[in-house]
Amino acid sequence: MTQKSSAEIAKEVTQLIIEKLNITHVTPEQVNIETPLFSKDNELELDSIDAIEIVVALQQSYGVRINDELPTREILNSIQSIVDFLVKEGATEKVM
Amino acid sequence: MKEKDLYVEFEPQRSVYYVEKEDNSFGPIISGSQLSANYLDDFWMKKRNLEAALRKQIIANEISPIFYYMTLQEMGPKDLASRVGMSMRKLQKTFRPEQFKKLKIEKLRVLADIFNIPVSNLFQTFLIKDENREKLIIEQATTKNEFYSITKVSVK
Amino acid sequence: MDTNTNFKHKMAAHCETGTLVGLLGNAGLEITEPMAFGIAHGIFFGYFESKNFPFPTFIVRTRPGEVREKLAKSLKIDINRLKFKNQEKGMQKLDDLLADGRCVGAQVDFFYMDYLPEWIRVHNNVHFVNIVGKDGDDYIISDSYHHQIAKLSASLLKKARWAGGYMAPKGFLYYPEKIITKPDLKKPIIKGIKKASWNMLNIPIPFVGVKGIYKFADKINTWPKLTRDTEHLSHEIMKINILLEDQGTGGAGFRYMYATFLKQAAAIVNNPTLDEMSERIMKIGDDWRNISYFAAKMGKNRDLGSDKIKELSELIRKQGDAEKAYFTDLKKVY
Repeated sequence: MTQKSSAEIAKEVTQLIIEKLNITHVTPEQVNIETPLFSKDNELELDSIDAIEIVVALQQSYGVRINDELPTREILNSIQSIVDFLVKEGATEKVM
Repeated sequence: MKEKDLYVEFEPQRSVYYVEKEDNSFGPIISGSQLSANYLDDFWMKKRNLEAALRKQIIANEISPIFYYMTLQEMGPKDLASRVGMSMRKLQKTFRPEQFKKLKIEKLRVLADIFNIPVSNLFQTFLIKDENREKLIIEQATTKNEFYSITKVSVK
Repeated sequence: MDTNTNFKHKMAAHCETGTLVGLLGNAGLEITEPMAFGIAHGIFFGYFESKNFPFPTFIVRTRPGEVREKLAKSLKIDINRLKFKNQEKGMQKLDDLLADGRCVGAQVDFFYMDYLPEWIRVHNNVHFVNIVGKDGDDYIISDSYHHQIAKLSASLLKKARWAGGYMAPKGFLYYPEKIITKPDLKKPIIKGIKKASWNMLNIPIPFVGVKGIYKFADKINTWPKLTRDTEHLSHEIMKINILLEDQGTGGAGFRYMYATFLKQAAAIVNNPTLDEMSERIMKIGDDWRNISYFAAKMGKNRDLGSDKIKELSELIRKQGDAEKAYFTDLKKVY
């Protein structure tokens, strides 16, 4: 099995967030993966309540659990930090 | 909460509540809404006042009908934007009349659909004089033509 | 009226547990609403500030859909779940299922349920109803919040199923496929109690669980600055009562329903400590109900000065203390 590149995982995660949060105004290609997820500059226009949905979506799709408050903030900083976390956990393949 | 302390008579809005019953067991009863039974008039008064204040702002060309309906129907701008298929920033611009008039009619149809009103209601309001309020019935129906509605006014 | 399924309509406290208990009962598994809620560890708290809502709000139960999913997993119920991008296909599938004699659960935007009183209908994408038949162009609806079977036009049902926005239903339908009619509830009850305590005490997000109650207590002091005028503040303060009592919670933000669950659970697992815990959460519920009354009166009398809001804030903070102690003790039971 060929390993997915970081860019591929980033695109998949962006797609997952867009789908789960029913974001209708942007495509994954329009999202900058380095921009802080919950900043005003992010194209996704997320707010804190969306963090819960993202944690649940990551758990359901990649089988990863995020259980502590401080790491949660760090992991959800940007799409790139989520990708880094998935790579670190060895959880880059979707479980569903 | 004891059953006798919770129960209230209010037929128009009843719900199931879990209480401590006479025999000390816990279980469900159907009761009226305590809030609606006591304070529904206050709710309608505030709603009418809000409607009038927003209408004044539309007439003065300060806000768009999108802001009017979004506020009255207690929707969040992000939720509404997602329903319409535009960014929240873009939607918020349409709260101003000068941006509202730039919207395509198809977008207005989508918005009217969300608010569950005919498209024409984004451009008009029906006011009934107080003395006629009890006498008249206004019924609005949409037609197969999504941009055309029929308003029937009849005497009770 | 063709209900095609001999579905027995019954009101329930909450729409998600109500539809689920109705569907399962129709398929041969009788379970009470509090038992379904408790096993699925539905009790919760969360304080949210989001542009998805017109004003800060709070929830008193877990994420919509969780009760269904957790109960199904715990009791090994096989549930079919369907989502549709294409509206015509989604309506056709519903018709096919009804024609097969199935009752179907559906996620809808509450706003379009025109058989309910106008003053309670707000845009809320996480309402659940059972669709139990069709009569011409109308669908026959069993809604836990309505005293009898209702009719909803196909056009409104379509709007409600594909409402879009936050927590969009996306035409979601569900129905049980395979069930065990007499499941052993002991293990699921214990698991549910443990998870409820964990959720209230340990979720690593600063605005949910007991932390959410404290957040609510703090943030309510900022509400006057967020409102348009006194009437708006009055409305939002009175909504505390609605969210705790009238929005399908069974009273006191699900705390009364949870007390009933623990009472039933105590008998099944033969543990008198759960009886005591049941009495305790009933009392905590009474204090939530006092907050509901207090807020309603404040709002009605426009008694909305900062001292009064602070008084309300302190009452909420005390609930945080009470629930922290309560769920810490509940966690120790198993």
